[in-house]
Amino acid sequence: MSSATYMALALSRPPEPALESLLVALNRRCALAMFEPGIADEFRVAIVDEVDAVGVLPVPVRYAVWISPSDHAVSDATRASGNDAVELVLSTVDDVVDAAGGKGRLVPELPPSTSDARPIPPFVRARLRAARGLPAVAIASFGVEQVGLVWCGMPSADDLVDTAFAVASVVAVVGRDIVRALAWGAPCVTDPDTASAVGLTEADDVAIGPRHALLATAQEIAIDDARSARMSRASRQLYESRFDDERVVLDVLRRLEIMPRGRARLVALIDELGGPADSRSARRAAELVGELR
Amino acid sequence: MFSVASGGYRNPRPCGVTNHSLEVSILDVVVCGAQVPFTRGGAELLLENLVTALNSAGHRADLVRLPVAWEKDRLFDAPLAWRLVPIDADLVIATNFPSYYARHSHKVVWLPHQHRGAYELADARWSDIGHDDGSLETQRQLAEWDTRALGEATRIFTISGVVADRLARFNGLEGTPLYHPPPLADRLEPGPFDDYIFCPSRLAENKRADLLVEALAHSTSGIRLVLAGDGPMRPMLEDRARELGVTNRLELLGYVSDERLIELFASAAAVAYPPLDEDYGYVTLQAFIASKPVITCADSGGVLEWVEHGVNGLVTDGSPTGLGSAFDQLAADRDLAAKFGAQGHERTALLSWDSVVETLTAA
Repeated sequence: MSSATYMALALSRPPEPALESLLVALNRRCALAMFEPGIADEFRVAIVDEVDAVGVLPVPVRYAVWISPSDHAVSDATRASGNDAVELVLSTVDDVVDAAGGKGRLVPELPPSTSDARPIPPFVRARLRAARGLPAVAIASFGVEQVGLVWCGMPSADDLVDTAFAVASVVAVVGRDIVRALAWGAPCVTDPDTASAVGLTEADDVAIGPRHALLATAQEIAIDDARSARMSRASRQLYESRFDDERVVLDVLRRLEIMPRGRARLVALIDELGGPADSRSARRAAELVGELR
Repeated sequence: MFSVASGGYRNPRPCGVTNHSLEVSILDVVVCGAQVPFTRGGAELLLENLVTALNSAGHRADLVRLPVAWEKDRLFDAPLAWRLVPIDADLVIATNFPSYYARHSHKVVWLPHQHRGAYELADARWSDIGHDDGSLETQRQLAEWDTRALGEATRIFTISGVVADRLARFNGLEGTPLYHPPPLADRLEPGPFDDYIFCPSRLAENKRADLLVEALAHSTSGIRLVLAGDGPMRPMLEDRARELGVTNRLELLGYVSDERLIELFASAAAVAYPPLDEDYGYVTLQAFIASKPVITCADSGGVLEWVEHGVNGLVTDGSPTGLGSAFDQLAADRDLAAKFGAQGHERTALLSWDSVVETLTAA
């Protein structure tokens, strides 16, 4: 296996939106380079150390194949070209995993990027609010009482949504923006329609109830430290397991045996723990690794 | 015999250690703990006693410790180091921060405490976690990392209900209290009820020996106060005792030998232990094993999982008058002190290292 830090790809047509989202996310972690026109309509990825100026690949290469809703089968040529090809399968495609011989990896349809969201547990939220002179207990609601954000009972600008989701004691939210709240590790309450649309149940430690009762439920949770801490953890776990493009990317890279750009093992371990790329700990780890070279 | 279950080479186990008749699995166990160089206290004793108990139970146990730095600029260094440590064993028992960052397929955590300066003691004078953005992000990241690293464990135990409660409130994780015997449990013994209240403790801010000195001035029975242990508060305590006019009733012994400690417990009228939000409280259990009542405060944390007001001790409001009054109550009524002490002794009867080992190795 190479110690490649980038992947080369071939596309014979502009990528469809789901693939483009994945490529954009991948490009944050590794360098992408075109190497040759693709075969048919397949997205072929080669894992290499270097691509020369004319795009000639050294051999051998590993391939990944993107199977989209319009390509319900992998071409024989592709199958023949790499018997250990990793097949990336958009999760909305039915039965493709079986068709691909069970080697498929389901890649969720990536939501609007929430990659900047970091999980913030309730006790840190309380300190953040205290540091900024905000109320000790603060409920944020989005789409519940009215369209848009309401902070502690007052309508607020929508560009403050992420801030509200990051520092509120509890977030009451109706609609797909619940994914953003989950990304911030906010304890969440929502209504059955939102839960159903996003695929959440009570077992996911999200409080689900009728819209008119959401704020009252949020208040109860806000003063229960243990419950809100548990819900906060569950929110982030839910986001990572079902909606987090960063984790999808790292998983795809791991399967393709690509080391994320500029990362050595020590720093990759930070990624596993959820360390932000620009964090002090990541810089420290890079220093420590750099001293060994 | 080479064990390859966890990968890697290990020295073969000695013959004859498999107890077929009881079908007990003999495990290679690595106990992981933090090391604060040049320090030996309760945490170190807990680790050593755990390893001893595991080996006594027939397992093969060893201790792995790494140094830890507490200041926020280096706070993540030791957790990262633990992530890289290769551990070949059947079971890893991780204890205090940051040893639970160790990676292993069968990791059990027995948690004495996390880095308290980043959690419930973030606003303490000695904590460097302020309300600036950098501190808050450090706190956030540490909580996230702790939650993930602890969440990897097969099972999380805590040394007390207080620690389990903190884990739930800060990290949303469930821990089960698993109590253990204190140091000297097999050597402490009851004795007469003499003329002094005893407190063996480090003379540090969180242990609040100053409350006891203040209480002495409010105690009218003439009972003495004997403090064993040393620390940065010693000069202040001496000065304050002079100001209060109680130097003739206060004895500051500094560090004492185990033998002397056993004698002091045995002959005390009562043991006073008023720490702030203690994790567990060895002093409480040592007092009860020696059949002595305990005087404590309503905010003393783990101590209150053992001391029941009016049953085996007195729980005061922590004021000098409240503590002084408690001193006098037990000084005046030795029968009551003996009755409380006997009740306390009964509470500790079930503590054993055997049950700790059994619980941890079965998790």
